[in-house]
Amino acid sequence: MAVYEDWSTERAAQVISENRHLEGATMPILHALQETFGFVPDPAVPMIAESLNLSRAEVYGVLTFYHDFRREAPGRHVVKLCAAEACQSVGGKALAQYAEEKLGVDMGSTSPDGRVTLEPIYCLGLCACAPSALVDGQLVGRLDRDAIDEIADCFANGKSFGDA
Amino acid sequence: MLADKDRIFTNLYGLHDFGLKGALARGNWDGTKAILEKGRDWIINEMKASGLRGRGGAGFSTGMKWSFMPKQSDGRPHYLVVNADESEPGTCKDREIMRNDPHTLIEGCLIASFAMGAHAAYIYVRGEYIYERNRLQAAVDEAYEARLIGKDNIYGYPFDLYVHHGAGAYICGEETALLESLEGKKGMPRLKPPFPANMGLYGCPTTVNNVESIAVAPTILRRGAAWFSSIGRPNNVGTKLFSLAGHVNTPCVVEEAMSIPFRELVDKHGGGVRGGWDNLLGIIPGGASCPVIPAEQCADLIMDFDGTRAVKSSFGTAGVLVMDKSTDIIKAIARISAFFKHESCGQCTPCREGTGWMWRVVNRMAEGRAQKREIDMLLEVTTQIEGHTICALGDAAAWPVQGLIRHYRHVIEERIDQYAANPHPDPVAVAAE
Amino acid sequence: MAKIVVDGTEVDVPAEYTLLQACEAAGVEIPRFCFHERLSIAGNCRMCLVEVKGGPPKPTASCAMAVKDLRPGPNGEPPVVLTKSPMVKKAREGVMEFLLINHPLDCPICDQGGECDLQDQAMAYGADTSRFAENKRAVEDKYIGPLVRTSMNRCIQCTRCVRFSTEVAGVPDLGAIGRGEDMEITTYLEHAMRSEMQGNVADLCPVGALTHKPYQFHARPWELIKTESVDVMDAVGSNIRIDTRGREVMRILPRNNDVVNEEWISDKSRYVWDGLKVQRLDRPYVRKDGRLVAASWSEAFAAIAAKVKAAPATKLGAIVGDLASVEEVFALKTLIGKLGSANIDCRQDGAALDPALGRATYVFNPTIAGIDEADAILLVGTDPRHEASVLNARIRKRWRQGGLKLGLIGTKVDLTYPYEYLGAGPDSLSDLAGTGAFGEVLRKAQRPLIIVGQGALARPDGAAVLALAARVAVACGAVKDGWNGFAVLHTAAARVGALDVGAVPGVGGLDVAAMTAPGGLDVAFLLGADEVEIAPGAFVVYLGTHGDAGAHRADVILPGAAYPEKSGLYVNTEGRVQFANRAAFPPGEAREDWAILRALSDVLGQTLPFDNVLALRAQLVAAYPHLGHIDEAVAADPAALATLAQAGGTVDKAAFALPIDDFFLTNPIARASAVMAECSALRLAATAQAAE
Repeated sequence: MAVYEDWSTERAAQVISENRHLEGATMPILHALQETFGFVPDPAVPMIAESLNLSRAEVYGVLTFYHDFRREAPGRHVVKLCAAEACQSVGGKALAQYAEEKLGVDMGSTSPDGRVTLEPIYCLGLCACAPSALVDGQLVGRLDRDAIDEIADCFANGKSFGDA
Repeated sequence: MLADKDRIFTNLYGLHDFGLKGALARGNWDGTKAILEKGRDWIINEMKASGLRGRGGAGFSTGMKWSFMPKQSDGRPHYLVVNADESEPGTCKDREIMRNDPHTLIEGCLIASFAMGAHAAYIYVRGEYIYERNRLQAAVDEAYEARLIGKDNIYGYPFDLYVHHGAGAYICGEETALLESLEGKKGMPRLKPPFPANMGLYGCPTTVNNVESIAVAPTILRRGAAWFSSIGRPNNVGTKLFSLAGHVNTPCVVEEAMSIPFRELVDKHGGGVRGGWDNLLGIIPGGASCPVIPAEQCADLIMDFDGTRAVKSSFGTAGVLVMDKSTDIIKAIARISAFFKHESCGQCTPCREGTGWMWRVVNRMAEGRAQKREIDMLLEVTTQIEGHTICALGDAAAWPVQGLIRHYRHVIEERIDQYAANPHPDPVAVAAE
Repeated sequence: MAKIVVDGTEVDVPAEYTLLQACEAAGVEIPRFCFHERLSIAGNCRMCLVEVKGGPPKPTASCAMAVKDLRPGPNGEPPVVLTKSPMVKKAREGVMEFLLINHPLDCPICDQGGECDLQDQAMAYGADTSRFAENKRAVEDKYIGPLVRTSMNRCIQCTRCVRFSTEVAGVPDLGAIGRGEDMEITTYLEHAMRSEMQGNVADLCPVGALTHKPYQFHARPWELIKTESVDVMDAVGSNIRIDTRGREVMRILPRNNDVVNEEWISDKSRYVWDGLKVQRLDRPYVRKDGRLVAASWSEAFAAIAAKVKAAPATKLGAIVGDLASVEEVFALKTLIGKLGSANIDCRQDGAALDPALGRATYVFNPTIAGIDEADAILLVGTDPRHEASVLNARIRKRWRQGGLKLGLIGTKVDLTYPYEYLGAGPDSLSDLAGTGAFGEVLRKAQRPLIIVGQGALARPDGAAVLALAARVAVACGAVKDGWNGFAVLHTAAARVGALDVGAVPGVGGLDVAAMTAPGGLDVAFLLGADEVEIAPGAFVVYLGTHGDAGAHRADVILPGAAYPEKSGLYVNTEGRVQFANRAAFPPGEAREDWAILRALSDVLGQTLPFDNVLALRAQLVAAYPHLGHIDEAVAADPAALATLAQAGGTVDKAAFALPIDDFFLTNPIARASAVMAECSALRLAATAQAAE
């Protein structure tokens, strides 16, 4: 389970200044902010723009172009299910439906209690171990219903998958 | 079958130490100095002679690409950029290199950069590859530590290597989009010309290579171009990482000789098609963008650039997706269309508008909710996208649909007939979008 | 130069031309949406695809490919481009179809209808039916300010607006978010754009996604009479087209003029037209018992005549406002002269400019196009972004080309490009003549340009500052053979023309300060002069258009014609003489100003010697021959600057002030405009927010 800090302008300013010296610093800064806060809140955009001498529209454009960056806080757990061909060919779609039921959340959204976010992802490059998923940043191959049960249990008990 | 002694990636399965110690034991970083001492021209000529074709999909001669870089710097720095944005669905070869054999790549970066007069190289790893990025970064740190790379390395050629990571955009695998992304912008492909060899990263001469192309270079230079070019058949030489996924009994990533017959590949390494060879429906030979090859053409299929081209498909990244007869081929292609629609950058018209159109039509066809005349219309739409876009994503989106219509038109027609005979088996979903 | 064959026609074009330009040189028009001559190349609409022989077997975007990038044939034959081949036809039809599939079929309610690039090109390349059976994309409209209306369903993502705001306006508020089908154009969090040139994005938009909000649903282009005119909102003299329906001005658009405004105009120039319809003076008024009462022309003239007869000639005077055409200034000056008075002044703000010093001392000598050649620019007491927005965009354009050094003395302002801040007042200017580092920059420059604003001149020591600026210019080599880099930037459209005809106090005459002072005048004529306040006691005759400051002070109001309602000459800050056509008619009983002055002169017994505007103009040109050179900026003799540089005078230490408080409210027409008021309020709010 990822633990994020609460948004604070000072902390964001610190993160930005730590990375602003890099070449092409926009993406590293966005990554760093997301690692710190779990997402990139809107107030960060003007801060980045000012720091890098870019326009807000430009930073905003970059932020919305890359789907990894979140503009809203994710759930405490994030499950990304591969939706690409190899995983589809071995039952990915049915598994995704099962995961939606089991985790109680629609694909592409966060559960109302903020426990879990379920998202599709296009190819984790783990085709040889399909179906695959990325659970809290951890790769899971040969995913099946049992594994999803286990994941759901872990989350229900407030544990990270893999800790058990 | 490729002999063990001819394997370049000897830790592909991570059975040994991925770190520097293990790498040295496997012969990486052996005689690197001697290679560098032979000079830039020798390296480039040897690469040309080896016949290595780019492993990222397009299959352009790697040595030739290196030779396009200006021989003398006009004051601007040169850059090598390694494309590790391996996002093509069905492809998982570069990840194995990065997590299990990263030093092949790092050594390749040094040699390639030396050959092109670059003192800095960037490896752009896709955002989803978190573990790979960490492994690679650890290996890079080790290499710095051991002064194999760095400003004052033991080879006396100042060289810095940076690992950069993306954030979930397939289009960043296009070389100019990747450069834009490295510069911190949206990953929108640039217009060519100017080509990256003249105006690349930060406006400086840049070469963008695939991970595998760079990672095989040190071994080629150590063992000689003749060795490499003796494997496979002319114009399609060398060893290659194949990944086998989908309906095979043992999906895997394997290093094999180029030009291996498909049947041998799938039987030897994939444990055969699920349900037996006769249960094969078709394959997608090299990642989502390659047109599907139906089973009847797979029997004699030679897995290389020319072999796949002969059946109007392409070799791509050699990420083979095998589909047996349980597969709904229209749905499968609809899935691929959805992917390209999702990943279109939105910059130019045909791709932005056309990918969504194709996806919607194929999606309807998967249900049968279409007209037969729409099949030809769809084919025409694909040709209106193909070749009219800034980058190749438009082509990549068009080809799978073309492959579907070329080989499985009858399936679509049957589906339409079925639907027409019984249009509403279930209540009609309203406003499904 | 390189040879290229376009559809069988061989043409010789510069090698760096794009194929699109080469095709145009060969007389072949290439359809396009994203390409625009004055913006960077995006190459994203794909409408301009052409076939290149010998190239890859697919069409090429002609806007992005240069002639020099093409390889000649095997025997050195020139490259061949085809624009009418089947491949090209198919490509264009395909692109057109893609553009249309998600474009709403709402032309009947679209303001762009009739002047829409997409509509026009669909006629040429579009199919008659749609094969697209899916739902069209719906995109939410965005709020991007009070001037530009969005209808984002119509957007074809050409990004012209984004490139304009980033490149030309220098206020990169617009951007594209999302990707693929979901790419949308918006401002960050839907803030209003902050550019003073934002109206141009609606002009650039090839479809109806961005339209002019004040004009929305007002008219159709084919109903409008189009009249070429000249803008008077600032001293740039931007070329405009005034579109009218019947008697009404419906909108104002820029006209292309490469040496003045290129094809941009400021928002004030463009959207001020609603101010022409309100607060208008449409009949004469005479003050009776302290109240202005409607009167007939003869009553008004009689009231004036009575006062003029009673006053000694030395107590008669006239002040010329900022929007007057040269003809009426000339007429007024002649009349005042005939009445025996030397009291006339056109410098409402008291700027220390004097035609007696020579024309070179009060015009923008290097010309606006000359900015393109400058390699160092010193700004003195000016904020060109708000005093002359289009000219500022020209400086920005020059800055973007690189190699330009910029310095500013005066109030620190955001000019959309960086500059070196050299100080606030005349002391900093004195430094440049001596040891200042930027002085060295100017001396080393091939073509240094020194722009002196009214903020440096409209002050008690203005004459000394002007002389000091000339001294700096001469010392740094800004005045030499083939280059005169001394430039005065005016803010009033009428000013240079009025100075040209000598509308300044004659021998023993009173200037503005003396005329407005208590006891200065018995009878004051104000020709649209609303920025001055005549002290109580004087009898004020106000000849103007709007119920603004001047009219409130007036004892007699004579209703005149606003700039679209009269033909006339205007001389811009460069000294360029431009002719504005009449597009509309003055309201009610209002008349053209020169005609009013002519009629009044008759009543005063000093009949002006012309019966129509042509005769007036003929006399004007006879007296001032350079005013006959329409569209030209006749170069002024630079010797005047050498003389001026010798002039002494002491400067004080006070910082240069900005001549313009509120960009949107600089003249009576703008102050009457609801659109300008809204912009002004928005701007104040934004400033207040920024200050928090």
